[in-house]
Amino acid sequence: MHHRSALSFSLGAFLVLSALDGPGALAGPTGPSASKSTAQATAPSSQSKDLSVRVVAYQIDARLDPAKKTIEATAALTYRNLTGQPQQTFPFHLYLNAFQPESTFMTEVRKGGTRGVGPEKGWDAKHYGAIEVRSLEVDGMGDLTSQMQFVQPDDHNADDHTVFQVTLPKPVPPNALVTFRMVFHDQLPEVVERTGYKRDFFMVGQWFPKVGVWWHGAWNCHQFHATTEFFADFGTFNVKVTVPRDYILGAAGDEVSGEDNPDGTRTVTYHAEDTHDFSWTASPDFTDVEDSWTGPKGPVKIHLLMSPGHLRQTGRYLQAVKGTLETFDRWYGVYPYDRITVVDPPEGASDAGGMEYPTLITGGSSWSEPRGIRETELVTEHEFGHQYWYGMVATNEFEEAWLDEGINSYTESKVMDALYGEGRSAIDLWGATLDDAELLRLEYTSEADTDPLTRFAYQFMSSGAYGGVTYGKTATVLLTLEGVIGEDTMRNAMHTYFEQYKFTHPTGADFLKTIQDVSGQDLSWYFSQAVSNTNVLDYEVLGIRSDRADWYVKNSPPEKSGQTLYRDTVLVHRKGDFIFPVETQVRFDDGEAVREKWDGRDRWIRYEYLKKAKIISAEVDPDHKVPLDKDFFNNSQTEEPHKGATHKLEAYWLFLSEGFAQLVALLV
Amino acid sequence: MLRAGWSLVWRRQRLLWWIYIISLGLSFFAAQPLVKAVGPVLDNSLAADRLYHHFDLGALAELLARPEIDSQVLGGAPILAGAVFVVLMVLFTGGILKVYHEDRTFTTGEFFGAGGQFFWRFVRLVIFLLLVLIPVAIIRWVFRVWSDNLSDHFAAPAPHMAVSMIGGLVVLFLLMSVRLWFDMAEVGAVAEDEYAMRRSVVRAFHVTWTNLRSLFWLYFRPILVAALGTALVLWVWIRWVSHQAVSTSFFLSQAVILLWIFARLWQRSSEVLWYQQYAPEAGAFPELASSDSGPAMEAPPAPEVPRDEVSM
Repeated sequence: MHHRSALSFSLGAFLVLSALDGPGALAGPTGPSASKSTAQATAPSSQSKDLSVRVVAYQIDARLDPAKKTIEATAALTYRNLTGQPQQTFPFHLYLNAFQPESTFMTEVRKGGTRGVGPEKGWDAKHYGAIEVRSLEVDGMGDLTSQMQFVQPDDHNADDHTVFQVTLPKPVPPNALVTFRMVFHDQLPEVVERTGYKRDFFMVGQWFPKVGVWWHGAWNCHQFHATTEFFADFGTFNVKVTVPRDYILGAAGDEVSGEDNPDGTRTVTYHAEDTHDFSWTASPDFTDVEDSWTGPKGPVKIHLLMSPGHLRQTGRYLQAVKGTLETFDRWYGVYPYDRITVVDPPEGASDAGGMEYPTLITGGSSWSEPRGIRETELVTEHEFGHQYWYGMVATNEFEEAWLDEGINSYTESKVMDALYGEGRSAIDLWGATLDDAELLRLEYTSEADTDPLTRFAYQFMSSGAYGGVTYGKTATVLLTLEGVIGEDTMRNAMHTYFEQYKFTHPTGADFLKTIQDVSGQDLSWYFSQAVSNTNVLDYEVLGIRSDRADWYVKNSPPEKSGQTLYRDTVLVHRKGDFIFPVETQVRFDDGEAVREKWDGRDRWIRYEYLKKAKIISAEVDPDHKVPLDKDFFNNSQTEEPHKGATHKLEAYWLFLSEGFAQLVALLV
Repeated sequence: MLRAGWSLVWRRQRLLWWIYIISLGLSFFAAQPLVKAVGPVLDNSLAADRLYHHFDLGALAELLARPEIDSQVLGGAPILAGAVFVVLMVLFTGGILKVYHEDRTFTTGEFFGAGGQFFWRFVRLVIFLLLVLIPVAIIRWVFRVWSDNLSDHFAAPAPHMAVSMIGGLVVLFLLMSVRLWFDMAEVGAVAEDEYAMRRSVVRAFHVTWTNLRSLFWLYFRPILVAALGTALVLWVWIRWVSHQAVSTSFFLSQAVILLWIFARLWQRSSEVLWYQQYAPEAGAFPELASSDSGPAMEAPPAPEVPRDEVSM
């Protein structure tokens, strides 16, 4: 049943739920949260349009106080027990409590830094954030406020309050519903890590108590760490947000209604379904730009909220969003929602940028960003790509971050190349170019051997290692895999993975199996090295040599091109510990080029030729299909040195040195 | 006045070429650590093509991240070269100003003699200059704090960007004015053979302050010419020069360096000529109308220089 009609007729009704097969309909509770109305579900039918198994239904009523930077709210969460067993203890995330100096998050930030915040940075009180659940009642079980207890499943840091659990007096049977009613208070931090305020701009994410996920036979509800993101069940959201009347709102949901209140505020009601999170933003300074893109499912409303001074970047945002929508739709699957909200954070609030929420993304731009530096486009593409891998496939970002950030980085490089040109997709300015795939590769090479892709996000060696491996290495691993199985097959595999696993929380094993199934190849040799281990791929041409075959003959005739016989040798060496089949191309001075294939298993291989020609060059991976090779410079050798690049860099460095000397000499 | 200054630099162009050659030589040595580090990596690698036929920033970043590229050594060499160049310019400036003041060919001995004569005096002037820059730095800091404050209170970037830009322009004007002031102190010290640099600084301040408009315009125009010339060269380089045209790029870059050295010498020569024409007698500081068309004072007749002596 369509949930808008379910919403209207279920007012005052009671829920009766029976065992369901397949995706079930779970309508959120309606009316003011003070009422005792509960969610009701309809039995599944062949006409159900649910995209996901709806485990949760949130109904939230929130009021923003811009002066105090607080939110007073009530929430009713109806949880459907699909765990297959009775559940008595329920954990909840309280992410905002991470913004306190003794939290696990802040302790890790102090050590290793994270988005925009470095180690050794002092504590600034304006970055304090908190969420306080003032009361918790469970329908039919009474007030359980005193039963709430903070837990720390990851590091036993008793000062970390980002997870609490509550044990009910009696268990919730399988397939039954339980409704939690909470009154909570948020203190928003000045924006430091995605969420918070800057002046009168508010980006409100991870702001309500969010129940954990029953995952592989146990509750999965990790503490908030410096390098982790989020994991939650699908469901529906009915959210009322009250803000001052002059504020412009944007949210991850369809606006159902809006009304002005006598106290100068405005209350807007949003509804979202088949999503696993709800975020919103508000500011009196937004310029609301409406646009749309029409795909196979019909029009997708693009709701772009631009900040002051950035309007000249509007076209760049829209072009990036539409281009990404069109490309994803064509390559990977249909975008099923009817909207996407794009938030452009204002100056000084860039830490709220570059983030994804279901059907809402935050970008990043500045008034001075030249067109040749495609940061706005790159961030927009990346965050929209998350709508697929994070928003719909929805893997566990705590434990397998690579499945979201890494896969998304891979598709980002492909889409950026398609939209902005291969070899210049990230930067194309005054003759200097940079490809997005190369940018990701640089992230990887800086942390090539620290951690496997499969490490839990909060267990990496450092935040730099987390970023370099999760984003850069994963993307480079998949780009290299593309070279093994073919670009079309890889795209087909990604499409199959998306279609098969959307709304289902798959694992890494599911993803890798999909690739193997679609390609029809056993790729375990590759995955065991690239995904599960820290093997480094590095092949080099160790030496080339052309020796006269008659070297021992005294007074041998002078060398003559095309007539003198040479013994030509090429030595290729596996410098890294990653075994990968490689091709080597050997060029001779008679114009001939020979390609050799090697399984790469041994430590080295030598190619020998007896020819009336000398070697001029040898190159491993001549088609440049192995970006995972850590060092491109040692992949080839030429017989004759070509100092062009060295002289060019020397000339540039000379100029810079002279310029510096002239500048300093202004002291005289 | 500016035309006369240009002519003077042209007549005494050996100064220009010597300074350029020294600058080029020092920077050449500063570039050698880089050449020694990247040469073995690039010279026999086909991957160098990404830097030769293109300018791939990824390839550059990868190159500079290699363990054999020591960024401290790379960065240290130009800094050292710059420091040596500054010391040499302190040594040469006395000779340069004396050449312009007398507008004649100097022998090597005369040139270095003049330079040595004023070396320590100009070292004292550099110290005074650094002291004067402290309040300028404070003004810069004030603008920055103001701009940050506006950024905290206004969503629109316009107010804080405006303050930043205005602050930048104010600081730039102050820096140029201070440089002009100390240029005049040097010119006065050479013209009057002044030993007391504090007196020279004070006198130059009065001269500069009372004639700020004309002097600043005299000082600023060579910079404008050099900036426009640089912009033109950059445009030509970006638009018309292919990535692998290393020689062309080198010559264009050196043309830019020459242009800025010329502009600096042009400022010095014009200042000398202005001082000769308008410098007040000791104790009198008349307000003068700005003019650059007044006749330059005739230089004293050049002494005869034997043909076989090396000259500057």
